Amino acid sequence: MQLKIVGLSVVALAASTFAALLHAAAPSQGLSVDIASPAVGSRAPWGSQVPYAVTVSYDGKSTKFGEIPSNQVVLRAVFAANADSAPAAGVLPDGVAEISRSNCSGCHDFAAASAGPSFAAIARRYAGKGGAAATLADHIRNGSHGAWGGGTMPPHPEISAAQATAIAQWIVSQAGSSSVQYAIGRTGTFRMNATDKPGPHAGTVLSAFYTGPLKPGDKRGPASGRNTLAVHGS
Amino acid sequence: MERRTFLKTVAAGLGASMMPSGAKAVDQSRSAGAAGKRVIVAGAGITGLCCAYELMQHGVDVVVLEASGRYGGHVFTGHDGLSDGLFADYGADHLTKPGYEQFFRYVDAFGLEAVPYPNAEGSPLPANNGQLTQIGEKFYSDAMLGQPATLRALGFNDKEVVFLSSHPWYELPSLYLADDIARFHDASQPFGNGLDAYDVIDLDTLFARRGASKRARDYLAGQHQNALYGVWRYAVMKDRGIPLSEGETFHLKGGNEEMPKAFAARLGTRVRLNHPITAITHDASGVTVTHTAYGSDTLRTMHADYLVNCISLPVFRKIQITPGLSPAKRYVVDNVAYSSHPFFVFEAESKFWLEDGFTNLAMSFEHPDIQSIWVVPESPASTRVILKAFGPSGLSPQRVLAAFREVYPGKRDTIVQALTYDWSQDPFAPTCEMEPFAPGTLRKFWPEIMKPDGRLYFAGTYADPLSRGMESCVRSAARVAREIADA
Repeated sequence: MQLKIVGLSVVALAASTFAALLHAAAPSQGLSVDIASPAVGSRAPWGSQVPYAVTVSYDGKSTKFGEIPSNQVVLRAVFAANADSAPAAGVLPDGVAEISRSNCSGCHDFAAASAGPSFAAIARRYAGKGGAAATLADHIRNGSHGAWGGGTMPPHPEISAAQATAIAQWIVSQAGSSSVQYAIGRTGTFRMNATDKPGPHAGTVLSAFYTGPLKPGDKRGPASGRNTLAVHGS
Repeated sequence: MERRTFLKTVAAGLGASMMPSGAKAVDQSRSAGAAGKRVIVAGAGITGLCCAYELMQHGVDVVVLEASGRYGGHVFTGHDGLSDGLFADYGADHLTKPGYEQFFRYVDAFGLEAVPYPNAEGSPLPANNGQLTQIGEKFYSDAMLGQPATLRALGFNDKEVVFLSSHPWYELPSLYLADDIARFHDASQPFGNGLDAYDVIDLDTLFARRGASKRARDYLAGQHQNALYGVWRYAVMKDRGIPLSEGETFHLKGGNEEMPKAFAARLGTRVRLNHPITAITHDASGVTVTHTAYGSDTLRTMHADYLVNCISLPVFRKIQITPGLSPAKRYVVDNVAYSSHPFFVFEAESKFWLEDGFTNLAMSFEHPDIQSIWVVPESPASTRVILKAFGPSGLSPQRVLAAFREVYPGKRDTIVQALTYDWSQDPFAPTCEMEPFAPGTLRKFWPEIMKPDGRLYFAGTYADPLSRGMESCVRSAARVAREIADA
């Protein structure tokens, strides 16, 4: 038995040496989405701003080397009354995935002003208005002017009608929600927002996603790596 | 400049290096308490570089941490793709006289040269310089736009027709706001001038109340713009001697990036590129910044007495601040709205418009893919010419060129190259100037937008009473440097 273990160790050592000789750790070919920070078991005060970092590797490419664009990484942060065990990352809404695949986030943030109004502000402006999603989808595809002051929303002929509709429907139905935060980019921050009086088990559940293209036959999930994590409030 | 205005400008925080007698004034203006202070400047755009330079002149120990691999931020002069060493400014386009008093002091101090740049970015000056404006598929000269019959046909009312027959269009705001502007006895701040109630309405509502025609209101474009902010802005311009035309236009010889380069050359190794800040902690005694350095994920820390944030706010708010900003400052950081637009740059083999009988190529269009085009000053080293155009963000330069070819009223052009820089995709400097505040929000922004939060100071185009190009950047930078030196 002892001999066998030694033997295995030798094999493992040889394999690791061989890999190192090839090129250090060869990148994983499959999809790996890993929340590098915060660390497992982290705590953060309620109301505080917390930095995050996500590493994505796929098809031999990595965010670490700029080979996967930062806007193909999305972080979701959701309050959980009991965050002792983080659930599976689940599915990203189509609208958010399409936003990350487009150049929307160059001008629009989710909840704060930028070169364009936030998605939350757009949701508030159009709340309860009939045909809002169709109007917004039209603005996305064909542009608009004057709706938010002197700024111009440029046309986006590169976004299909179906993609524009997915984005518009998500904005109208969900962007106004304060209980779910999204951030695009491999690094950034989220807030420890509590929607109710948080108990001792409460926290923020983070889920990270890759929205870039996949090779034929590949599926977006389940990705390897730590793509979900809970940060408890303090 | 009037002596009164000049003195106010100095009092508003002109840089230590910019006092009237030049370099000799530097040491004299050093603040007694500045020596021994250490300051971290976040961001090496023109604001950060200017602020660091001013702090250095005050005798402060300063370091600039820049996240990207180049300094200059939204001031960017590009040469790639252009012939004969020609260049184009893809960000900050021009300087104005009057209006750039502090900037021009740096131009003089650093031995830079400002080159006249007529009709820059659609500037109306010089007037009657061959500009053409497309309205309803017809092109109008400046003279045609002053003819009563034309004005009536376009929908202006009688009062406006009389006014515009003897005044250029850009002076139209004064027809309706002159009394309000005159009431601003203290243009250094918006409130307390008897117009506070304007905070809740937009400029368009104000123009409508004064009897402006629909045509005039469309031209003035005051929808969703805070009326008090709008009137105050005109009052500040009047106070600083800036006409409604915005003045004569210039750019720097070699490109506007010569100014960031001049600051950076003087700062030397104090500027650290590819040093992105990931977190800032602060208390009553100082600040600690966590950052990385190029090619390493290792977190490093740096301590200082103060930090000046010169990063545009949509980028800055991704940095963790501990303890969090005050609610009032957080509102400002989360809600300042910016403009961001690309320039489309064309290289032509010749001044093709002359062959078509046009004395100038300074045209505005009614086309969704191109709004205007103008000529960049010639270079003696080339017979080629650079044109710049306004078009929507995200469009390809070839699409904008195709739109130009669709609407250009001449026979042919000699354009051989079309380029752009899409600022909306720049992770570090995506924004340009501040957009006007929305109705009902000015009280939430002012004066908080100018104030520090503990030991965190804020400078940038938004942190001056008049957000107006690079001048507001260097004014706010010098003001903050002075405040820290005196603290």
